[in-house]
Amino acid sequence: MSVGRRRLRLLGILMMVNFFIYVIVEVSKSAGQEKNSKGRVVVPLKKFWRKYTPHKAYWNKQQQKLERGYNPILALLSNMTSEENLSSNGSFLNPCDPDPFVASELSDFADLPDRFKDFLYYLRCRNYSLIVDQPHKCKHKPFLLLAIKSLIPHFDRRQAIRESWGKEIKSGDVTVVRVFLLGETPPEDNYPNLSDMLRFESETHQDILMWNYRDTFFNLTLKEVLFLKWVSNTCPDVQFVFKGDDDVFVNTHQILDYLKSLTKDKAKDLFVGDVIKDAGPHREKHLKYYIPESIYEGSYPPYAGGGGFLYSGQLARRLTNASEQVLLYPIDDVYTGMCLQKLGLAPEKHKGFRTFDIEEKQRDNICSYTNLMLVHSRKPQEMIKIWTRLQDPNLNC
Amino acid sequence: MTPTETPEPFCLFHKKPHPLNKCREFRTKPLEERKALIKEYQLCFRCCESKEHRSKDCTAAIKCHVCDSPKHPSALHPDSDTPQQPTPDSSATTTSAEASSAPTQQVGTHCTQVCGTTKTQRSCHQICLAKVFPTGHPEKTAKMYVILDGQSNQSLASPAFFELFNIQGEELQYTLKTKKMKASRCLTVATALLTLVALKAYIEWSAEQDGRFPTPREADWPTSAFTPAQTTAEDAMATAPLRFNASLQQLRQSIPKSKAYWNGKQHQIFQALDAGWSNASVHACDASRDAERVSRIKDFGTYSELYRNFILYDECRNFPLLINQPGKCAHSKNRTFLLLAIKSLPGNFAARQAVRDTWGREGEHGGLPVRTVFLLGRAGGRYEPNLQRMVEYESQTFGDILTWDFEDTFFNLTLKDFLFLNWTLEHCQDTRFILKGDDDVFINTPKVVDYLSSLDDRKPIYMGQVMANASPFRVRKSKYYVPESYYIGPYPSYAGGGGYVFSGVLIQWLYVISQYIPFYPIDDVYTGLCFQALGIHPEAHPGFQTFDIAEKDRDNPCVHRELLLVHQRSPHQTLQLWKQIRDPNLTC
Repeated sequence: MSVGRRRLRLLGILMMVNFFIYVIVEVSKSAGQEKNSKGRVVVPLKKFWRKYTPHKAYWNKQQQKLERGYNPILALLSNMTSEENLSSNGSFLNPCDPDPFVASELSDFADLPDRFKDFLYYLRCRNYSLIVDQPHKCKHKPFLLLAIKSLIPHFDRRQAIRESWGKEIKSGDVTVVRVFLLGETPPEDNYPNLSDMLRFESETHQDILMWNYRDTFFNLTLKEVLFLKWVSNTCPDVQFVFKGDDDVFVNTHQILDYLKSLTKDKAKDLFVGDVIKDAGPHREKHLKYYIPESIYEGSYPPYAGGGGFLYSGQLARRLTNASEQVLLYPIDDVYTGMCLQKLGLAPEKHKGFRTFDIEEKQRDNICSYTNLMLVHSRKPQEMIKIWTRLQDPNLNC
Repeated sequence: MTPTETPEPFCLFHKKPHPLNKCREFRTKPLEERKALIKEYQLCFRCCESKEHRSKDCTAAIKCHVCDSPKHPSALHPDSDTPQQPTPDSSATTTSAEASSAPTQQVGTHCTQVCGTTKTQRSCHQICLAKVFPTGHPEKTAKMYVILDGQSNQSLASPAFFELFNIQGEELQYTLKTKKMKASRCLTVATALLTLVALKAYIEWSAEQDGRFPTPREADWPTSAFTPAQTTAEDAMATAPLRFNASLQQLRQSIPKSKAYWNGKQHQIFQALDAGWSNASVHACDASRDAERVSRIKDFGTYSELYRNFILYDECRNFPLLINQPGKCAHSKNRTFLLLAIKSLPGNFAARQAVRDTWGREGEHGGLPVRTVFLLGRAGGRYEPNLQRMVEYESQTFGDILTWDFEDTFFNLTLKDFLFLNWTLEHCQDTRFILKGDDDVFINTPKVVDYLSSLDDRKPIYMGQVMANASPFRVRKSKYYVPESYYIGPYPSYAGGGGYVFSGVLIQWLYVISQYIPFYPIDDVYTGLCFQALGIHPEAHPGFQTFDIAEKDRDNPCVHRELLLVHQRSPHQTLQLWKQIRDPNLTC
């Protein structure tokens, strides 16, 4: 009997709790309805998520497939569709063999200039190896790493940089180190064999990094990707990285002052340079930067001109990861912009980066260089001359 | 690196935003000078508009608006009316200027005014392009702009026109103004000023008509003077003025006596020769003495720093060898047949390597030994990157570098020439031939050797692309600019410095005679002066193409196979062409 009564009591309590919950829900519901403007609900007119629309241009199409590969849900979905079999056909092959499908996927492939054919054949090949390394370059945890894109024959430019703005510094808390980034210029491509001279240079100065890819204009992107990987592996503790061409003048002291003045927050995701916005591919065939419609469609993300830009070491490591999710693009600085976009970042414009040079009449005036960070382009003699004049203790600007 | 907008086409000549290809004034300059300017401003040689690419990367559609040729842009139209490289017409002396004018293309209908101090009326003219030639000589056709003027009873023409028809004219001040159809302002065409300068040069020139250099064909060869010297260096030095008295006097005749610095210096030496030569008075290498002398140049202060330094030290001829190759000609069993002496700059590692890998490879061609040396100044002048250690390493590796302790500048090329002669006298005197060239030329060495070995042994040669009847450039911006206060007068016929060949027996005499000729800032002109003093005139060979060949042929191995020397090729092109012309499967 007592058991039955206890059960009854429990049931009563539960019923009262239920009733209580019902009251609360009803009250809150009606309160909510009052806030909503007179009970109307917003219903989107069409789907508010982006519909999957396949791109026509080759690079965009391949990039889309790559992105799906990195998206766990979409990857799962597409595994169930038959379309996936088509897109992944490349993955069974060695990425460094010429892609056998590319010629049939681009309708105008046969008409493309050779540099594009080469680029597309080896679009997925990234595992080149270092032939000349500087494994101990960063053992003192440098504050700033200067990475200069050069070509093997440019001995004079490299020497001028060593003697001027690229001097390695080790004073107190500031360590600046320098590397030159090179690819190969093989005799099969009709380049003079300068390997003896290069070996001597590298042994003398210990500042050459060289990978075994062909050093062409389109392969500057490979130079970027391989360099980022090198920073992550060999120079992970560097605080800031400057990457630029070997025909620019850099006011290294100005850059150091700027970097030291940064707040921690700002320094973390720093990426500054001469930013180009709202640009898109050039369509005039004779230009160095020409990209055919069949290869890329759409505009470019904001990017910093490849003459020279400055970013944090932390960002270098994040960029390395992002670069795995972006297909190589023939133009290196645009590619870096794409990787930044992938991270949800955008480069910041800084007036001190003058990749389109300063006014002609100002070029001989040393005072126009004191507040600059970078000017493009300068000859070796000019670099040394400007640098020497900037060091003059009597300089009065 | 990708600009959102391509830079405005920009006229490097006027600093105004019209494209160079539309600049008529630019086109009035000699082709050689235009090329030099384009090179100096690092413009693309093909489209002449962009600094962004080199001609080999240029894919622009080009068309010459002067002659409609798709092979060169308007800016490089070869047919300019220029006093620098005129085509003198000695056969047409009796021909009056009965020009048959055939307008080929309407160039413009802009309103043009001829205004001057005497002619104040204004009238409208049309400008068109005409082909002009002396009666009966259609092969002498020249293209010229003609101003069609219905009222004038005076004829104005450019100096080149006068040259072509051998007409004596008198100088007339005039200003030519063109008026755009819409714009009301009258644009003064600087061409008029340029033409006046040219007119002045022409009048100066024609006044010295008698003193002109004889053409190569008239020259007879004083072969006997060059019998391999049995004498000692001192004897050679002492006997040279007598031995070459006739040709020295001829040189003396051709150099106007004027206040210009170099003219004065040279005539001083001639006077010293008259009075019995005293060696010490000339090459003193004393900058303070020279400083006193340059005070005679009124506008010395306006000279560029390079020029001033050249003049201050132009008597210094002794510079130590930093890197020598003493055994260069010793280690071949046979006498060296051809010595390739290549002017290079310390930084040009790639160019030298390309030469070594191709046409400059030492060895034997048809059993005839060929040797190569690169001629360098010191690496690392003021503001120069210090590449001396690299050059030393290169020299140890390849054994073909000569370096002297002087600054390797353009005006020191004459000094380089002289020091090379000095070196050859000591280390390679018995070489049969010497080919001096730049490191950016392409030389078909086997063909050169073939050709040279077919020549008559007894006749000394000086051969290349001959510049005849040239005179100093008076355009300040040009690399070849020579101020009027420095030198006035014609240049001798000389072989273009891009590459020329001469006989080894001449080394000693060239060295000796150069003691009697003050250094001149342009090296190939200086060499021409020395040969002139020896009584030797350059022989033209069409296989030497120092101004390059037609654009369409520049990558064509079949054309290169038939040439001896062509300027200018990049290391990359050199390697490619060399591979191609030696390919046994090449069918031409």
